[in-house]
Amino acid sequence: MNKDLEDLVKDFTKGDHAAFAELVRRYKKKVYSVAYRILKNHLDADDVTQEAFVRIYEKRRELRAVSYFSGFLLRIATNYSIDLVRRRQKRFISVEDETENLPSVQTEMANKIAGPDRDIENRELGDIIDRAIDTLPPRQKLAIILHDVEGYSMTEAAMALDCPEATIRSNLHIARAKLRKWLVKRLK
Amino acid sequence: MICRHTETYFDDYIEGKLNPQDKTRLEEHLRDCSECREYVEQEKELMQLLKTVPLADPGEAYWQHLENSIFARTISQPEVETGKSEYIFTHPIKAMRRHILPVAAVIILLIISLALVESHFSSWPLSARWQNQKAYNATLIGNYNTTVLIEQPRSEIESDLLGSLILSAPGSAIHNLAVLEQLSNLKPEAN
Repeated sequence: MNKDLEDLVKDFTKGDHAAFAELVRRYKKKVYSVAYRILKNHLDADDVTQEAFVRIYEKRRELRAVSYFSGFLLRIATNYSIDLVRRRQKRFISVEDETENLPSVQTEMANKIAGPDRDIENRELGDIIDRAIDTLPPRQKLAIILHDVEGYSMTEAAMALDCPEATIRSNLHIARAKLRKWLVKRLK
Repeated sequence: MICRHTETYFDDYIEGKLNPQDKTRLEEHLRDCSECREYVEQEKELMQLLKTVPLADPGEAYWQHLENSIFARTISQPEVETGKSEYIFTHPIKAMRRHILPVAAVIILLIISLALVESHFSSWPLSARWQNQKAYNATLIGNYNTTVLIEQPRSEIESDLLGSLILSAPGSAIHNLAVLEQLSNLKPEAN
């Protein structure tokens, strides 16, 4: 099915099952990916992904604008993930506020990426970044995951987290500064 | 320290969303300001790096299983209205079929109650029964213990009174009592 997203969502809100099936096919990996990055657990990510699609299916008549679809789906997934995190008493560890001047992260990262074992290095670097993201406070972590890691727009991220775009922008700046400091320190 | 007046443009510039005019002005500024240039380069690098954070792919079998699980919980389920109720048209015969048992039960109960009422009144002391074409046997028993036996009406009044007896009909008792009393009065020899 090569329908564009707008037509698919319109048909979905009218109760078209084929349109819903196509939306599941297009968005399942994105929703799973966000949930997995928040929860770090396959079973929980699976639970969240299923629940997000089931809930959006049940609330399809409430989708007032077609453009809300991905934001609404993301909001369901992130809210449910946050609920799970809270329920399981997971705690985010805040990054220590480091005040000293640190060298540019650019050269440190470039050194890590370059070299013959680039794939292995990249994987290792990915794990390090993943751990760095885990150290962020929840709102900053979610802003980074949605916008910088998963590539959602500011508007979609704002809708998912139910806050103004300016808040997302500010959370991103603070989070990136913390990540940069953390990474430079670890990659030295 | 980055310049405050250019800071707000950095995100859009890195994401390539800045309009050509602002982009040209910002690039001119970046050529002159090393701190802003360095900051933008670091942001770009970090954002590129964040987009490469690996995620283990659970595999095609899992994605298929996930789709099937979602479909089983949504489009494979019968519709359940959670909000406002909708009018559902039902064919009259189908509706009748749906209601046939309760209707039959009500009819049976009605027949049984009518039969009970009838049997109650037929044993009631104030009943009157049709004997044959020519003779009436109107009986008063119980408290009255009176029998009025008339084989042939002897007068027009008697004939009219006998003819006005409502035979074996529920609710006729009070009327018949009055008739029998009048007949008794007409026949003083009856007990």
